[in-house]
Amino acid sequence: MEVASVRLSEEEKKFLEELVLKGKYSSISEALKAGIYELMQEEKLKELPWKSREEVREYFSKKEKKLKGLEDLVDEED
Amino acid sequence: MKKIECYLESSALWNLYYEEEGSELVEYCLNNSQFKCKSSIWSQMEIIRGIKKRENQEEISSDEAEKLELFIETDLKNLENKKKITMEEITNEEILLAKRFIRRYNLYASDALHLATTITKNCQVIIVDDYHFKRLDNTIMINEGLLIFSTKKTITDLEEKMNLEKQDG
Repeated sequence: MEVASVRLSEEEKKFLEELVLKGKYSSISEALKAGIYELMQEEKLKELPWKSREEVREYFSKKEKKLKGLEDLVDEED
Repeated sequence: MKKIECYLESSALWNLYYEEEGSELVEYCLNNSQFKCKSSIWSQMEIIRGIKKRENQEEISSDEAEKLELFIETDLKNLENKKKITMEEITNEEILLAKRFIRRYNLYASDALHLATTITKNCQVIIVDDYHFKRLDNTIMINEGLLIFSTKKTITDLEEKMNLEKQDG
């Protein structure tokens, strides 16, 4: 894992320390990583080709379906 | 008026994102203020598995699978924020009840867990697709006092059934 130094304002540092004190994260590093993860997800969302459930359904309805319903190949449990 | 508490089983949620057929009824439940919809973390797990199965079968690409999973995760969070659905945790209570249902009704573990969650979360209706509808038969409906409703039925069917339930009650 890479190590990076980050300059934080007093307010930002205090905010992160409070999150750790509240037990939400085990360290400031973990809290920062969670923030970065959210940012990454946000960026990925912007790249999604669909804006609504209707668009998702329409997109996948054009696919040649090899499986029927969610539980096709259900025999994997048996 | 007391809301109808409704559990959307994973197959019903799947219809919401991947199948045209059945999606109309699930959308209706989510957007009708008479309903209070619930599902569970377990449903989300099954949906992730459903996406992976399609990737394995090359029905969809890895890129599409990743995007679909992200879309569903985000959309469910949005629905929760808008109070249109509650994604329930699975606790020991549900697991203990599910164990009883496996023995009593010879259910798959997964179906037993959905049924147990439906009951512990005080839902009166469980919405499922046809395949599950056949497996969760009338015995369960009668014994557990639960309406099992297929996504393949129409909105009118559901409205009529709900009216009938009200009249019976």
